[in-house]
Amino acid sequence: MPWMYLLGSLAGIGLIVILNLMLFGRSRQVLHSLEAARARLASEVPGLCVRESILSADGRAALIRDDHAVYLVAAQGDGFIVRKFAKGTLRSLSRDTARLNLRFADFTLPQFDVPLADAARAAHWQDALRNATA
Amino acid sequence: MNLPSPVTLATPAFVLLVIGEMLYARATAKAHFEARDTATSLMMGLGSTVSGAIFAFIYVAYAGLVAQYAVFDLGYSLAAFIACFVIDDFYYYWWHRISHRVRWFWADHVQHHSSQHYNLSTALRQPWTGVLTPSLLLRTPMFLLGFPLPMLAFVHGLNLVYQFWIHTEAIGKMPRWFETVMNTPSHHRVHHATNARYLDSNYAGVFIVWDRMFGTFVREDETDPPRYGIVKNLGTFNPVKVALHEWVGIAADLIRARSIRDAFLYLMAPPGWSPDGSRQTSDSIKAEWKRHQATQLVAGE
Ligand SMILES: [Zn+2]
Ligand SMILES: [Zn+2]
Repeated sequence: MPWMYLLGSLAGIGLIVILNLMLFGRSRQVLHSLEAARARLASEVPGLCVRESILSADGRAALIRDDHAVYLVAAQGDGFIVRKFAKGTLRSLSRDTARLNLRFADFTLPQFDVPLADAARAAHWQDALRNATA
Repeated sequence: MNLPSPVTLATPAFVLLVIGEMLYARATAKAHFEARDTATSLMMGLGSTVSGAIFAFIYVAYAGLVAQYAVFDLGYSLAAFIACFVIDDFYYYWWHRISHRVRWFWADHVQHHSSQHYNLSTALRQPWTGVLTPSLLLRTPMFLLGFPLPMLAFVHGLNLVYQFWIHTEAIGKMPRWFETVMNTPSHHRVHHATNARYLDSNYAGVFIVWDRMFGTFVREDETDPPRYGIVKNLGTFNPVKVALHEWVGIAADLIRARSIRDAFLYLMAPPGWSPDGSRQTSDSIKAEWKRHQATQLVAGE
């Protein structure tokens, strides 16, 4: 009986999720623009004064630097995740030409890659992240 | 006396209402759904039912043990039912408040807050790990009062059923008298928001009067729409990771703790506490926001 209940519930959940997909499609998991990422960060960081920012080549994430810190803003479903880079935030940071490979000390976000437009910009942001997490 | 489980009875209605809200969202864009988020919420609901069934024997054994020493024998009168419902809701307020202010409890309750959406499926996003917290011990006075245990389970179920419908953006404000006394979608949206002005407020289950009495009531401000979720939103939709993430964080901190005092505070201080104050707590976020508001005000003068 409990197994029937469990299987029935799983089937019901599956059907509701399928209906959800039919009605709203699959979220593209991208930031609409760099401005949207900056606006979201500004809503979380009072007095944010952006010095520089860049949208990733795949549109999923943005790196943003203000006077005090560097932040990652990324699309998660149709929502956002924000991470502030500080000492201990990263387990490792490497670069593969124009792609930054971030390994976070974060159970729900262990790794995140940020492809940028070119190697020079990736190297610049790699330095910024290295300084922020030193 | 055999009393039914209100949550079990209401489950078909929950399902129909989630579907109804989805169709309403499609037609009006007044509510929002995302498939992976919905899937996670529903799986959390199912997992919570399963873990509740597995560990129910602990609840029954403890409640039965304590009830032997009950001060009164309150029976099944209508007055007892009403008193039980109101006292249970009062208990719920304090349990909920503690759940936001003590990390040990938060590790469980955060699972309910982990969605960035606010729709009826969010109501079903229930935690799996209540058995790892001392929540049951907090209920000891309720068992000692002498309400029959089936009645306690029944009114608690009713409380949870009430809270289902308030997880929606589809309803703006209820009539004024209702907003004054009862918990409503508007009040509970505030509770689920991470905007600095809304943090740590509106802990009510059914009656919002507890928040008004104990100074935690915050009104929804139309100029500051709620951003739902948690201060550090999760980078996953995996329900197992959602259920475990704060426990993993606590374990990592306890391993790293440099003293008994630090270990104690990692568990018992508000979420985000750290020995060097380098992490954000709701208090530090609110203080920072207030400082900024004050400087804005001065700059505008
Ligand atoms: Zn809560
Ligand atoms: Zn809720």
